[in-house]
Amino acid sequence: MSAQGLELQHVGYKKMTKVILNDISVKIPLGRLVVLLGENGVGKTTLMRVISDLNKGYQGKVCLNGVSDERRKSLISFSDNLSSFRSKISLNDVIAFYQQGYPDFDLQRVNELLNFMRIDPLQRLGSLSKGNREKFVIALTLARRTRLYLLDEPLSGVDIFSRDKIISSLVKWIDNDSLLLISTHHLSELEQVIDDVLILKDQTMLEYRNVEDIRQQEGLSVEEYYRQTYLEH
Amino acid sequence: MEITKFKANLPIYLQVSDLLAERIIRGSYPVNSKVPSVRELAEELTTNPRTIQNALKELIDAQILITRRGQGNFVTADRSKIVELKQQRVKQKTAEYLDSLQPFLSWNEIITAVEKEIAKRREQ
Repeated sequence: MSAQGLELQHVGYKKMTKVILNDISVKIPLGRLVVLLGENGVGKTTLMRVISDLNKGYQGKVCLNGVSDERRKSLISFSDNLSSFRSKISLNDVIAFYQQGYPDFDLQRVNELLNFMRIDPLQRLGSLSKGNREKFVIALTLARRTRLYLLDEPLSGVDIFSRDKIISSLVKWIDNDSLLLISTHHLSELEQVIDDVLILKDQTMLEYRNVEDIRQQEGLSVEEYYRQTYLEH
Repeated sequence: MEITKFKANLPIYLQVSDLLAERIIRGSYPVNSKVPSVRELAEELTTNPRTIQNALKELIDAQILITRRGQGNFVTADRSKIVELKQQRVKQKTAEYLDSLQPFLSWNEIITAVEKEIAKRREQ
């Protein structure tokens, strides 16, 4: 059995007595870009937090490259909304903070990404527009050299040009040794860059499927397929 | 910078391999020359590298591209392969075109329409 990749075994999560996630089992190999789909409130963010071991007390097992205890945290880069930083802090200072906090943080990589996205690191965090703030978050998240990248709604509230820029930067940073999991409501923009979709519905996983298979076997776009599958079940 | 958009309801790797085949037929990728790497193509076309690999595999299987170990993929030196590729494309595109008109036009009407359109374009 190959231990490379992300494996969930009967993963569930409850908040008090309310079931948020129920019995999710899936195996995702490294080297893939996966989109996490599901309507608002279905538990996409919760699933990412469980995978990152930020939500404790979940049921089942989460295993990343053979590591299933909390040590897997060091293999995961989860997009942060940066709300713990004061607005007056400069981007460079945020970057310095990341560099100190994460030994796998790659300064050259963050600078390349910021340069590509045309973000000036001398700016203050509070002066960034929503789109530029998203880009900055993505640059910080992808700048760690790690195995699993979790991006929670990286395209929300971002204009189409910034979205294109973000999507192009995702393509640049895909490699065979890592895995990107992205939650989004902007599926159509991501269709041609993703490998697989993971669909959540009613607290559990409806499907995990390769997108080229969907196009080849169903003759549908991923968005059409998602809509159809969602309504059928 | 603009993102190349592919049709969302057809496998992207087939669309990419069609696009690369057209570049080879046009001579944008000349005979015996190296085609861009998987990564370069993925970035240029904003697609997944795996999609590019699958597209290249189609052309390698058809012997249009030749893999030289450690060097990358090259357009075949065998021009007859490219002529064959072009003929295939012509046949495929013509068939698609005729399929779209056949339900409501006769052969003669299609020929007349094509001739008219060509004459018009020649004048422009």
